[in-house]
Amino acid sequence: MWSFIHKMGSPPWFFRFSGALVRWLLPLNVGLLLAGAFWGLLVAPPDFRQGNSYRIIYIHVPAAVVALAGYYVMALAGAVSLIWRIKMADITMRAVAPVGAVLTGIALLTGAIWGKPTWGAWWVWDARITSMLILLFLYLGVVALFEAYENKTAAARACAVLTLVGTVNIPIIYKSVDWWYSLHQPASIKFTGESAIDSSMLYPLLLMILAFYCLFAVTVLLNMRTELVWTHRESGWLKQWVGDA
Amino acid sequence: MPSEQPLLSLRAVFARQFYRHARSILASPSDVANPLLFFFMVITLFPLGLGPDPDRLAAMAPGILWVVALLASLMVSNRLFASDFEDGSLEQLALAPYPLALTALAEVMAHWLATGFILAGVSPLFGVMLGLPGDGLLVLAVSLLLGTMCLTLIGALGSALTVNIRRGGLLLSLLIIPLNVPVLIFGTSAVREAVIGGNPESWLALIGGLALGSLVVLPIAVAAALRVSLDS
Amino acid sequence: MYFDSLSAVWHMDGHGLYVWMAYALTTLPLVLMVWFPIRKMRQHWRWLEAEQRRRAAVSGNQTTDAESAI
Repeated sequence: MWSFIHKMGSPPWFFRFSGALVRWLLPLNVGLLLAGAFWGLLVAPPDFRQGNSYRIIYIHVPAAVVALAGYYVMALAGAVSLIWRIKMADITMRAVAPVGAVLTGIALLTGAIWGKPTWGAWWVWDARITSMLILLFLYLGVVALFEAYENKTAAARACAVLTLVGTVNIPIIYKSVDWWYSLHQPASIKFTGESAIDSSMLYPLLLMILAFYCLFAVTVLLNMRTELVWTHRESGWLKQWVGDA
Repeated sequence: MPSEQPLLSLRAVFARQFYRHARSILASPSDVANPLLFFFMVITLFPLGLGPDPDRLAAMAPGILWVVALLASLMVSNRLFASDFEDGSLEQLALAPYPLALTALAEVMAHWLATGFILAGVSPLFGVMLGLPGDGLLVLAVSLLLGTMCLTLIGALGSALTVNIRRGGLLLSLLIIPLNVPVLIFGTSAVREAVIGGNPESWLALIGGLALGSLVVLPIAVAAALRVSLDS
Repeated sequence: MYFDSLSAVWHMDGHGLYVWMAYALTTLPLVLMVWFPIRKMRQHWRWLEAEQRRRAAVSGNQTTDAESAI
């Protein structure tokens, strides 16, 4: 297991492995997304209270879940980068940041669209949407910091520090926003916690969550490969690869 | 060529760096006065923008005061490490045989004393201007005292990350604002709780916890960020 | 299948606008997120192949120059 991770730290090895992986992972991913969307949109029954608009859950929740998980992936890569100075970890961080930002944006957008038929307003400052918004800012900060540094090695280390501090902050932010919301909750609207979800709705949701994790992996790997090819364009192993291809 | 002086104790290093930085800040009084002036002026913008209705201003006062304090903190954080970076003394500090986290913390504390501490002290005046009830004024000052310590430490991290970047000031704000949100929420909740006659102790305890946590954890991050900026 | 006709699928009992807008606004960024790196990779690869041809051409010229120098 450790030797596998150790090998992944070597660019040529990673390049070969990720290429083979993406080749079948991408079609699988498309399949999972289509299957999940079909199931959630067309097969699952409508919600008792919300009708058919609840079907947005099948993209909103997976996007939100993977967006949050992605930040921790970025933090882990950052920690590896800082502690062991592994270049591949830098590339991982750089690949994850925009993906996480886009997924957070999707979660916010779909949340707003879902909110309109459910609560009558496009934007409601409730605890979850507000926390998601702050997560978006955290992601965008990392992306901006990466772009601001010219020396990309230094950029990666700076982003690692920022991401790690952000990681410690995320539970604090979530909790504080939760309390903030409960203090100011308007009397008329009650956003109670999720009632027990029926299994006919749960399974397509789980499938879509899996599909989104898969999508995350595919896009991050694609980004990493592209970055790798450019930064190592002068190296021998890549030239040999091009020559053989 | 390293000097033959014996190594100072950690406390002595901290004190020396603290006094050095404090003296340099106080040497230019405008560095102390300008943030306060900024605070004053921006507070004034709110009645101008929202209308002079005293009840509405009073209801919004905790939020307004805290947000403007946050903005003032952002403004001054920009300069925290800038002068030391420019004249090379930051590099000396990094090369010295003392932990950078400690010496950086000394600078941050000196900075806080000249900015956040004073801001917290004068804040009741501005609370009165916005019609904040008397019950809230002391809690406002205490919440800002503890809160600005957090804000200054977080701002120090932002400064350390962006000190070597051209026009890093705006980027600093983008990086720092999400991290400031809990402090803002706890601070305003404490003041609001006091105003309605409740007990703000739990909120103040939360800010105190954040301040303690920041004091312990953030200097390490600040030192790491300073080294990144120096190496880039 | 819960719905019995295509127009029912489109309509979603009045919520069709929201559901399909949400799915469309999701699909677009996801597709772009996969497409952009693939396109960039192709650009890099073309650059690398062109570099290789340039290098081969240069080294080819050098050997002929060396031979003519002898």
